[in-house]
Amino acid sequence: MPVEPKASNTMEVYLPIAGVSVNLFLLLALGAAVGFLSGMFGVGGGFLLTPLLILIGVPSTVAAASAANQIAAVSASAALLHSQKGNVDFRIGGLGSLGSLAGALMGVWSVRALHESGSADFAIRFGYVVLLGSLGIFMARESFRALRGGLKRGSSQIVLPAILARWRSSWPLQVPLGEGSVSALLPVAIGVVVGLLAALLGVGGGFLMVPAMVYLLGMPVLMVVGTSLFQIFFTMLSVTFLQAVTNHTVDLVLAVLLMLGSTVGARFGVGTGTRMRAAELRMLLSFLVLGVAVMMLAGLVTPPRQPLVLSTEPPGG
Amino acid sequence: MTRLLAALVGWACLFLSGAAAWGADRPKGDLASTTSTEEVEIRLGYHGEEILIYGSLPDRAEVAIKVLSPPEVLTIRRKGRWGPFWTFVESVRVEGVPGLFKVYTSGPLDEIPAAIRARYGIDHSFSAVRRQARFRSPDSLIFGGYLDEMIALKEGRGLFEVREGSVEKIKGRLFRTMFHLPAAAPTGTYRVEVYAVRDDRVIGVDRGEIRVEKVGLQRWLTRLAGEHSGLYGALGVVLAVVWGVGSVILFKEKGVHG
Repeated sequence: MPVEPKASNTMEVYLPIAGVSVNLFLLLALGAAVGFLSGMFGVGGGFLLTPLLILIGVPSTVAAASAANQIAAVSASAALLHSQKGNVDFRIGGLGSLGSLAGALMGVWSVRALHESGSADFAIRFGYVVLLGSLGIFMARESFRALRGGLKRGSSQIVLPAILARWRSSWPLQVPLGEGSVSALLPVAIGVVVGLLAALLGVGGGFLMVPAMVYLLGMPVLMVVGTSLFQIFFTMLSVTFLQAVTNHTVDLVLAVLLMLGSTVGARFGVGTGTRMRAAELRMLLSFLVLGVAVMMLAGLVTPPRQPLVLSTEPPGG
Repeated sequence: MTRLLAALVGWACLFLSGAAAWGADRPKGDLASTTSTEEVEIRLGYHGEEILIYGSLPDRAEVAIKVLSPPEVLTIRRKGRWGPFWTFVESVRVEGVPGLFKVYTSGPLDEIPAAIRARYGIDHSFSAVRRQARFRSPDSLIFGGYLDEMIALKEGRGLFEVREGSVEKIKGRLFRTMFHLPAAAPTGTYRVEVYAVRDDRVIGVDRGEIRVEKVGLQRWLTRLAGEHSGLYGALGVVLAVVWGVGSVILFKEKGVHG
């Protein structure tokens, strides 16, 4: 009989919302790898997770929304641990979360509008290239300098906070922060940007929020990581809910498998990360970030093997 | 595995009944067909299905089998150059095209008269699909080109297929073939149409159905996400909180920074 039998022992798992069937172990390994890196480098890992999911065939909008759900879970445990040590400034984090909510709303609506015009996929990929490209170059430069010349600091980094210090104390709506005070508008503004990125790209935005809290808010460094994690947690919760309601793009089967993988991976990553020098670690991370950016860029500028893309809608929809 | 076993048992029963009918006064020209399963359940581990289509056929007849899924509303987008980038530059909406369309035959299609091939939609050019496709877009006038490329794309994904000689005839009275349903095929009620062709005429038609449905968790999640998206979103939120807090309690985890 001219019918080739199909192997039935492959461990495929069908993702109900994505509508694709992917290898279970590949997905768990992906979650574990990203969890490992996030444990090692102290980053959320969303910026790697979403592009990798896209690369294995998950639609980009589903990848971004489901990654948000996974990051919410991972940041929940990290934020909880930090708050137990008293490292979370709930006032600033709460204000930032309000901003994130507004940003996430804007982001989710943009995804919908982009999706209807057919350019959501391009926008997400392009957003990643810009974000990861500039971040990677910045980090590579910083860590290269640190590895070569020790702790020599550029003059701009000293002047910048001084100007900002004048700004943030002269703006309205002052709220107490550390020993001084800061305008409530600043954490809200940071939150809006982070929420927008989170909804569009499925990233937690820690890489953006940590420097912003240090330089723009002048927050004590000890509080920054915990507070940003608290805000990431809240941002990703909002994004998960809003994406589910507005765009129907959260795949819970995918999210749970990623949570499973990353929880295991993160535990090994933390151990590995503490054995390496900080500058080396950042250099490694910057290569990783640049690698993903180059891969995404290549996908955008090389002629597609298949120029046609089909998408189905429910009849009448 | 159980499904394959059931198919084999069914096959054996059919063979026996066919053998029994051999001696009985069974009118010639009978066509009877069935499938190894009438319901395909999409569960968590679903990755497509192999379905046996088999039956008895009239003397000296050839068989053509057509399997098609319900029509869909498709958006076809074409990538083109936009500055240095490749992005979607054109899109059309098309209705009435089945998500899956497969033709299996026992002999060469050329031996069936063109008029019959066209009428029953059993040909290499998927003329039945072309006839029913309705374009709903002002964007482009070159619909024919879109259809060609869409069909080629679906052939590449194993959703559209014409396989000549893939239906096996046994002792001139029985036939069987394996229908491969890929994981990416849509849900819904599929039509299975079996034609017996002899002396350039269709002498028998038999129809069947296969339902492809999500069941269990897959069905529940899909429905919840579509019909009660607020609850579904809340489920995602609760899941994240419980997972996060739970893993802290369970593992006394070291901080993972964002």
